[in-house]
Amino acid sequence: MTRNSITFLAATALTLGMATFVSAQESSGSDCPEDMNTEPGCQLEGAAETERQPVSGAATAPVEATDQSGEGSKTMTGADTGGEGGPPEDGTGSGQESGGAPATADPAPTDPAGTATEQQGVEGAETAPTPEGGENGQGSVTISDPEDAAPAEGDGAASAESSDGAGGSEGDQSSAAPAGHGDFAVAREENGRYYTAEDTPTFNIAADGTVDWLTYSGFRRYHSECHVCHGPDGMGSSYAPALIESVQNMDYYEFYGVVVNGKQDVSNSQNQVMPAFGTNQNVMCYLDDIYVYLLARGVGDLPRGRPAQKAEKTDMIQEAEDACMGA
Amino acid sequence: MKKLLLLTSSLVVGTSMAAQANDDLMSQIDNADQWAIQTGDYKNQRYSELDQITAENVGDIQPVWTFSTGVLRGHEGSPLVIGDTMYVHTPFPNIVYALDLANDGVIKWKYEPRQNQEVIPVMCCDTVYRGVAYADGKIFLHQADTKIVALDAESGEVLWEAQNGDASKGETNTATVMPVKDKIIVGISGGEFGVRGHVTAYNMETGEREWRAYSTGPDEEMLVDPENTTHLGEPIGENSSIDSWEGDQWQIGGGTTWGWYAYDPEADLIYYGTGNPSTWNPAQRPGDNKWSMTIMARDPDDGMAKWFYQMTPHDEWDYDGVNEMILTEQEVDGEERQLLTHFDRNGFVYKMDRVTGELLSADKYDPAVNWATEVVMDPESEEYGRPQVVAEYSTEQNGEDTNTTGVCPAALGTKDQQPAAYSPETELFYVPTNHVCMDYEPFRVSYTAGQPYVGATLSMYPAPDSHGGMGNFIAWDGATNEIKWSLPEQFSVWSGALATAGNVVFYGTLEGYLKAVDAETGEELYKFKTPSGIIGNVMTYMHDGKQHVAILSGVGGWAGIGLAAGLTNPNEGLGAVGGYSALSDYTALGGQLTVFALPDSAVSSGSGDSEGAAASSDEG
Repeated sequence: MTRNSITFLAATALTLGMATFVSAQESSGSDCPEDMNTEPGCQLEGAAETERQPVSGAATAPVEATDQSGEGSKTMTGADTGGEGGPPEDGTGSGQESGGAPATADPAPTDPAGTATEQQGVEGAETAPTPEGGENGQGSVTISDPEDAAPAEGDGAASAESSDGAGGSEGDQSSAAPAGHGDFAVAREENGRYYTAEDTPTFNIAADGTVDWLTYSGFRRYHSECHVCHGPDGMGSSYAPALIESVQNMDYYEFYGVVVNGKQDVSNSQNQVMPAFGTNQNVMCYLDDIYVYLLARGVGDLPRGRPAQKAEKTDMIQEAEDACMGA
Repeated sequence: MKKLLLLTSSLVVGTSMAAQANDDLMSQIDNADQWAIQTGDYKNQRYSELDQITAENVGDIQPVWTFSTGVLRGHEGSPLVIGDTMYVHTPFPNIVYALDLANDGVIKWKYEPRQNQEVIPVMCCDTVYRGVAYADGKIFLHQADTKIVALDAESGEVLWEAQNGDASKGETNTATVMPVKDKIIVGISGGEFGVRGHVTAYNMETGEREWRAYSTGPDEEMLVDPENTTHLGEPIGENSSIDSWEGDQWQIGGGTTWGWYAYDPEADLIYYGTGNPSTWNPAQRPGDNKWSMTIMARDPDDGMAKWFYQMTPHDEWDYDGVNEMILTEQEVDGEERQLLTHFDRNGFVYKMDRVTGELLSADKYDPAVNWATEVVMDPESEEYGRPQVVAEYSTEQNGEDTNTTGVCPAALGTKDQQPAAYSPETELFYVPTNHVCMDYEPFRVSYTAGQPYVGATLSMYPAPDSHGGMGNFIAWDGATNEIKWSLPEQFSVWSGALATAGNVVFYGTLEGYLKAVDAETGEELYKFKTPSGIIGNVMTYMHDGKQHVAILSGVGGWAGIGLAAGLTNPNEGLGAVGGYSALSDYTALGGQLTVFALPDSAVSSGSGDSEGAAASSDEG
């Protein structure tokens, strides 16, 4: 149990950050207010609605197109664990903590100290980093090819339609989120956090485009801490790699290790150096957030820019954050 | 007695040589055949008296030689030319090449410092470096890790070294140094790491530190005189900085000094601006945060401040005040004034009396600017000199964790460090600008030494309801405070401009074009696509009877971060893929110098004779 989190992702080098250039669209107004439960468009829809449970009408309402490209799918259902996916919270969302999940979990790995022990227990440590199995290939693009349609993972979210054009404002990278997101599919939810079958963090995007809190938080933290080198929306800069690709090429533990310890790749043709962030609370307390956000960008079909709708921040997430940041 | 003792105690070395060094550089600058200082001259005018290349014949110029720097990443600044030698610098690892122009550009010497690579990631926005400086037979290199090295200009031999900052705390360097008298004036970077900004003077001959003036903190550490250092004509008073911060936040409060410096030998004052207060979350630093975002005038001998002007009190948008101060002599209301003109990141151009620090005007130089309605010009008003912030665009008033949208300009400013040029003939300023707006969401962050200290998420996009591009190259009339003409550019113009007596203005673009335009009309007269995007500054020199124009290519810097992946246009809604295609579709990394000149046939009639030269100018 204890999942220590962590997911994989790639990354190479996160670095500092500041602003992001991005698409603007904003959504600004459309962010769900805190009381999202009362607002249909913003429904949290707690646990991932695994598609089996097609989300009650309410939830959907794709609030104004903005991003969410495909409204359909994005949810990743878990492989086996199917069951867990969810106690589909009743629309009221709020409850996450209670309603949801197996309560066991200790929230997240984040420990500022950076001790990152890699591979902690976690059973499936092998963590196959990449989406093997043909699941939406990491690269870019990937529009659903038949293969994914047949989601390996059992119930794989079939809703293959992947992003319909509207959304993907980016052009290149994978705006298509085929169905089940392979190894990154949600196996279970716990107090607003989502995990894969390997017990590593992953993202959740509801049918109406609402992202889980960590993904939203990761958007913010990424663009504060990482963007200055890795470019807006994880897309890379003139000198640092696109993390939305990298996360698909390394597992969560490797990602964690690189963030904590930094990296140096210096040669005649390049000098890529990433600092160690192990002591930086602004990074370490949000490492899962950043990871999950990048996964949502790279594996899921989260479009560029600010996520239009976000799930509520659960008390557990808040408590973990306060504890980590020493608030 | 008003001067602090502590300053005097640290003065060292001979003043007599000082004057000589000063004279040396001044005479080198006065020789228009050379390019002896990054800024063209002490006034930051970036204007050359050379007139062999003219508006009539510039269409005929051609690349005549090129040089690869061997380094990728962003190339800012420009080469220097002193006598027959050209000095070319690179981004980290900060190589310096001395090229022998009299001998086919052979490399006379090369100096490559050893620096800890750990400095790379603590440079906020790529490993740029804005070039070496020359004075008194020495080349001054200021490395990314803040080590200053004096090299013998002839041999490349190291004469002395000095360490200005500590990269492990996020203190880095991107700027050139400015030689003045017997000193070199040195700034520091790291505002995104909570670095406390300062300016330091080192003895040119020995490398010994002579004074340091912090941007924030106790009066004696800022080298201010509470009674005689003024702000808009009034004494700044005691504890002016400390009283404008909460607690000890000033110690990690930014106000770094990484821009271009100017010097007025008559007034004997140096001018520069200070950067943003740290963090980017304004809620964490209540108060005016003095003296971040401030134009400073100091005595180069002891660092004592004569006057300050804080442009953006309590910054909420990252509008660093470091852009160049351009010194001119122009008439204002019928009276000849010694002016300082500053195109700030915040979108206002400030015109001041550079001797007294009087504010003469403050106007928007991009109509998109919306975060403030105006700067109050009434000396009787309590708000005198302060921008009138629009609540809708105030990230402070909207609060932490709230996304403030549609703020213009974006954090990179209506103009960043890319320096403007000024022609005394047209009396126009030629300004490379960004035409970009943003959303800005501040949130709480904690400080860790040597780690980024930002605290905001930004999204940037082309200014709405405009031409859709992200930049303009404008001609600004400082007499009327109006834009005379504006050339839309697809990407931000991140290259320093050059104006010449040939009535030509040059600049580079992020796609890699070197462009020449008519100084009066802005008409495009020539363009050539160099191997990589341009964020360097155009320079010119004369050699072997020919005027040359040179530019460093090498995309990167802030522009390489934000633009590499492309932006999307909020106006076009979803699915506007390709509307703002990525810069990476146009160019790739590469450091190269490209040098242009007229063909022999065009100059055979003699330099300076623009009519003759024009004969073959019909570009075809």
